[in-house]
Amino acid sequence: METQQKKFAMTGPEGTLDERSPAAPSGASSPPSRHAVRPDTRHSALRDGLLALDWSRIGMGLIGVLCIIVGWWLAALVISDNVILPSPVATARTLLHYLTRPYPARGETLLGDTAMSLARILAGFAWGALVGVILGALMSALRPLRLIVDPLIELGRPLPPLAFIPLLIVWFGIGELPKIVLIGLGVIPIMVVSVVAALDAVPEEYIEAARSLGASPRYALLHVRVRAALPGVITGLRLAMGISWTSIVAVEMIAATSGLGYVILEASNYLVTTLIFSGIVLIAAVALILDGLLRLVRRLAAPMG
Amino acid sequence: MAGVHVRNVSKSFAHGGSIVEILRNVSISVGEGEFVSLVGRSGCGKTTLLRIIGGFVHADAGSVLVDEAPVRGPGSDRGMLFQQPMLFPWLTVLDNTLFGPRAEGSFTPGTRARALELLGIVGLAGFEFHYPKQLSGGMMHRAAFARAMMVDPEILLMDEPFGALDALTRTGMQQFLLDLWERRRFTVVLVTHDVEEAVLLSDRVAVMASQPGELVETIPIPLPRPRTYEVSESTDFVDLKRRVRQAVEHARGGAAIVGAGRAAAPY
Ligand SMILES: Nc1ncnc2c1ncn2[C@@H]1O[C@H](COP(=O)(O)OP(=O)(O)O)[C@@H](O)[C@H]1O
Ligand SMILES: [Mg+2]
Repeated sequence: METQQKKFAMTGPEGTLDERSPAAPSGASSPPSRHAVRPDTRHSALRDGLLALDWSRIGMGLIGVLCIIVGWWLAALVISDNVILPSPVATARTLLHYLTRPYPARGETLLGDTAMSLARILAGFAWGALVGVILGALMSALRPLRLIVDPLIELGRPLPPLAFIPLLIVWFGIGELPKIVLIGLGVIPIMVVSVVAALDAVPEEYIEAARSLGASPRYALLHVRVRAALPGVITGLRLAMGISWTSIVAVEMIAATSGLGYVILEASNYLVTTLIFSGIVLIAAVALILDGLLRLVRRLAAPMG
Repeated sequence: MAGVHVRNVSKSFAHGGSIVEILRNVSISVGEGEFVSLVGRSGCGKTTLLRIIGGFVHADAGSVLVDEAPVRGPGSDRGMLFQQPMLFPWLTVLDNTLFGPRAEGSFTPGTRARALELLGIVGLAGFEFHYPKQLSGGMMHRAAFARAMMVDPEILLMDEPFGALDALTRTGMQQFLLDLWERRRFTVVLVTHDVEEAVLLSDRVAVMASQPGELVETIPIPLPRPRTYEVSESTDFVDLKRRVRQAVEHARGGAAIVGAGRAAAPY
């Protein structure tokens, strides 16, 4: 160690081509300034993640949402029928009113129904993601398992989870269990496919580099292969979250007495269109927040994209 | 420091139902602190031989000795550098450099300071907290060198490390490697298909024939050291380059480049 440092101390960068000089080819050589990390600051993953949020893109997105609302409002003005198309203002009034006050026919607030749907989603998503990740990891490691499970996934993937609702009701009744099972069933194939793809995509040279740097096979597996696959797995989680919403709203419309899907169905039975829209807006808002959280996690897992 | 002794190594791969002999009875010794390049046409088995020395592929027959001990698997005594720098994109340059000590469990209070010093030596001072994606190709390669050096390998195995760089950056990296080797004198096995690069950097150039891969000739490069890029203008250099090029072209399989073209390639 001592002699090593002395040897290095003798070495200087003289003679090396400094690529920061104008002589060096540009293109890939200059770091993108928007994402530049000041070299004198300590690295903080969370702060980098927040800095990487693209505020101009968020702004443009908001313009799009605003256009939809204005269009909706104009259409409502022209139609001027609160049952066919209530105005955004009327919808917002209903939404805010019943957010914390129980709806007369039901005795539950919109917030309570939102929490109900969210709890089902999180429970179903959690077990489905867990099983999917474990199964995907095993399939990536064990070739025979992959050969057995791959065709099953291919067979099952085109089937909409909703086709299983009647069966799940026969098996598990109309309690919480069939709903949570259904969401998980939708999540599993998506997670299996993305976990296998993410692990397969890790270049073998990463593992070889790690091993020649002194990593044990186990260390290389956990700190390199799994770590390198993480961003792809999180992208899979985002897709799976989307499917979860489809499943939950559908099952709540068919076999539930609570949750946002049920609210929407009930509201349509009573022709309270403002409440239908309120349910849709709430689903969009919660889904957006959950996706935003996953995107933030992905940004932390893959700094600089 | 340690030398590498490859003794009668043979290797075949199953290729679409048949067995293809890739390496036949290859023997080569690389002395302690010696810089040896392997050249030969694409597909002749250079990478396979390097990976056998690295311990990532097992030879069917023969043995590889490093410092008198047979190679049984990869180890931090043999640093690997690839055509792509293979920096871990989720780690900063500094954390990439610290990967080896952390993986080995040899991280001590002085390790971080040594990594920073090493990054300074490879010209990356001020880029310690950048991510690999924020660096140019040449900077990434220099970071990969720093990462490899952190575990004090006695041997560096390089597989066309500068093959993907533009000409100007490649020249810079060759000079960088010459300087680094001059100070450290590690044992080097460099795979390249750039004859000029092989002559510029090496003490000896080993020429391989293909199908199956065999060592046909080892050409000493008695150019004075320390070398700089200027040596490539000397007549000695030009003569040596011609000799190596002819050896590569006359090696079995070499004629096929001119004759049958790609059809002769094993793909
Ligand atoms: N793991 C493997 N399985 C099957 N064939 C392989 C494997 N690795 C290398 N080969 C084959 O061995 C031959 C030599 O490859 P390689 O050592 O990469 O040559 P070079 O580096 O000289 O271009 C190629 O034809 C390649 O297809
Ligand atoms: Mg190769």
